[in-house]
Amino acid sequence: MNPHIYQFAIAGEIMGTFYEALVGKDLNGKPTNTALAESWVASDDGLTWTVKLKPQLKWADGSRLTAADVVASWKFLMGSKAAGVALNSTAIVDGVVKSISAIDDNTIQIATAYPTQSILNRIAILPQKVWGNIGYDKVTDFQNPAPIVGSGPFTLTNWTRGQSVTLERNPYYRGPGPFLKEVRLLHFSNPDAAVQALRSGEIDYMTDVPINQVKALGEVPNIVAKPFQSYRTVYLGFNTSTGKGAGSTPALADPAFRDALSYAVDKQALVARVLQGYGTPATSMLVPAYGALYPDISDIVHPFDLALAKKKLAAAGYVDSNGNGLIEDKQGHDIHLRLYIPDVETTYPAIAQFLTAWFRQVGVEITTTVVSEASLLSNVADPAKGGGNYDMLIWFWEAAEPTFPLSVFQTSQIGGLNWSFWSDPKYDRMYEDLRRTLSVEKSAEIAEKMVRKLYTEGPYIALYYPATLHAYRTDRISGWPDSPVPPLMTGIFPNPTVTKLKVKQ
Amino acid sequence: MFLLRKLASAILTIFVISALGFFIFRAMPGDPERMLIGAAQGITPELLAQIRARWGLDAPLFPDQFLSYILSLARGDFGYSFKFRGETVLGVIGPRMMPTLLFVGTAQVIAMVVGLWIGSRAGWRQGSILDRFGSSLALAAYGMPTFWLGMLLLIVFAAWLSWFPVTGLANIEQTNNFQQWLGIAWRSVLPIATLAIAQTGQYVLLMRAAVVEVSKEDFVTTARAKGIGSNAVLRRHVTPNARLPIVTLISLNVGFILAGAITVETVFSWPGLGLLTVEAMRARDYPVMQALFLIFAVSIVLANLVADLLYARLDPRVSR
Repeated sequence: MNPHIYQFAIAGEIMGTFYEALVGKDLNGKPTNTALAESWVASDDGLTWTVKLKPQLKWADGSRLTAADVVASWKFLMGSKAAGVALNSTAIVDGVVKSISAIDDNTIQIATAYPTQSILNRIAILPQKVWGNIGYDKVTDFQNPAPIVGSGPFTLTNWTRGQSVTLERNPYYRGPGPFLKEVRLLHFSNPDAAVQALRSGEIDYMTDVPINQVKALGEVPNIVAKPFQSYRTVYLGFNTSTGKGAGSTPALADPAFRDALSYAVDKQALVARVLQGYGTPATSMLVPAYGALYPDISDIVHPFDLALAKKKLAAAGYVDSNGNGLIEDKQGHDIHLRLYIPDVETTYPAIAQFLTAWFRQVGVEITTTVVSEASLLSNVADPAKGGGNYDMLIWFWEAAEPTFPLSVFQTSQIGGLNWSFWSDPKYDRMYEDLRRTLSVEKSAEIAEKMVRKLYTEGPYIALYYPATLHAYRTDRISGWPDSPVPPLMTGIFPNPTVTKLKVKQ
Repeated sequence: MFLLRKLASAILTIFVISALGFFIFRAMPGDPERMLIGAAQGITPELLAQIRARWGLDAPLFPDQFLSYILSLARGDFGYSFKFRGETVLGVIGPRMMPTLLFVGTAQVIAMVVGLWIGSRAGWRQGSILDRFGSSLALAAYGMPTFWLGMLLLIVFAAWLSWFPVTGLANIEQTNNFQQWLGIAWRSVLPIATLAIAQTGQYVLLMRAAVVEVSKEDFVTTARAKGIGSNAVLRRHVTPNARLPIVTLISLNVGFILAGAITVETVFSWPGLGLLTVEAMRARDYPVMQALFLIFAVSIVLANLVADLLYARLDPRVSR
């Protein structure tokens, strides 16, 4: 439970019940004063934030939480590029925060390089008597053993790795709530068993309900099982690199080729057949849950049209000249693409089957290989250092932070998260502009431009936005919010719902 | 001499296996440092380099990493887990050992006792009701996917009838020792039953075949001709001679026991070695994988050694 590094998003979710940022967030992502800060005011030029903490804040062990804890938590991230990659990530402050200092025990001043507010609700504030003496060389393997002292509504009192987490009410939490005395999270290695446990009432809530069980589970009395919005986009990515680590055909690096292929993908059918309707067709990596930052690009969205796809391929110079049913690239070789899919999702092989059938009809052969996540991660590493050597992959991005999916396609992320190895200096500049923009309208405008660029250049084809399927019992626990966001594992830090749940009398 | 020869070959096998384990896992595609981070936001080359250095992944595989592995192994030091961020490998494996031994061991004993009894009876009285029922049930149990059988038991006995809890060992109220033991016992019933049923099948089939084979021998006819009762012939003349193939099966099973526990442990979220193997593989946790590999290998080698020694006792011709 280390906010500087973790493997699974669920760890970040759990930390949201015992760690807090300065500013909270509600279910719509709007800033709230439910976390540590009572108020936060920007200077007239927007470059300096003055943050006032709530009076008499306490850690879960009863000791005082002061501005010094806040300053130290932030400064640690500013001190080294190897300080963290997760909740507390160097990327949040790098090039943004110029300085942070405590004016008094309850007041903090933050100077930024350009006006921005999104930093205030991201970094977990950590107790310095625990974290203060950990150096950069030790931070990524600090165990943070239970009981974990935080400032949030709960304290982690027991943690058996890979099995269970026990959270108990933090007696020093300033309230209101939490009303539950204890929350226990159990890991099921078999989701069908979790469904049975929910049915029998042994558990009250579950995430990741298997698609084929949602309907039946929703019909059980006292159980609500339904789709909620997620931040996830499932996509088909292309290896667009041309040098070392390039794909099997230079066609992959040709935007016109990728663009033509996108007419051969019936996203509506994928949602209906693979997700059984629990999702929506995608246009980009930005998900509808981002609200104002979800761009409308319906004017340029391609229809599903195999004949048109074929025509576009021919226009770009890809035709079947030897009549063997496969189109050839400009070097005269049949186009035969290798599709890699990670073994983490049961839906991906189904997507691959549909893609294979559609692409075959426009003269492109696909061979699908299911690989381990670890193996695929070595394919997407820097092509100059042994990465690449794949043609296409199916994977997903998921982030509550709207700028994140756009950050992925920067040139500087090749070898990091830019798995298509796509590069465009204009795009990079747009991303820098986006980072420096405070106004929502202006951000939305830039984000839309970036998305339009990605859509026409096509380093990936966004396939669908899968809903996240959760289920909960209403006969024992009340206070489940009625919202498009999942009721407990919300994906929002710090957790906005856990303080509201109550045991029914 | 026989014993020495066997012992020497066992020790050599274990050494070769431990060296092999080092290279096999590293030959798998994928880097542990990427898995340690996941697809997190803002991965920096500095951080990746730091993690590589921290876990000794930056040194050359051969000889540096290999030598340090062999030298620590010789001292009984299995190193530190990647996935569990620096916990010792023994500290990770230790707590997972008991759940697996408990459930696999009990299931094996039940499968053996029931399976061998049914098998010998069925083979002795071919065509009897016990034979017809026993053999076809055994065949069904043997052919059934363990995962499916586990799910079936879970749905029927835990979800429908609510006789047993669905949640695994992690959800036990630890108020006092007695309750805790009761909780563990209660939660073990279904996993044990699953593995026992699946294993019983092959014991029945093999024992039946061995008994059928032996009962055609002349000495059995002779024994019967002498007027010895049917049950006594089975007990004194047939069963002892049918033991050899059974000993082989049991010794082979010890290896599969641990590995075969993987599916059952997954169905029941049972925190044992099988589930740990899956987790370690996913995370490319080399040190834990090596240690598990070694444990599995040593248990198979030991079981084979015991089987060889037993053979020599059961059939003195073997040691000559």
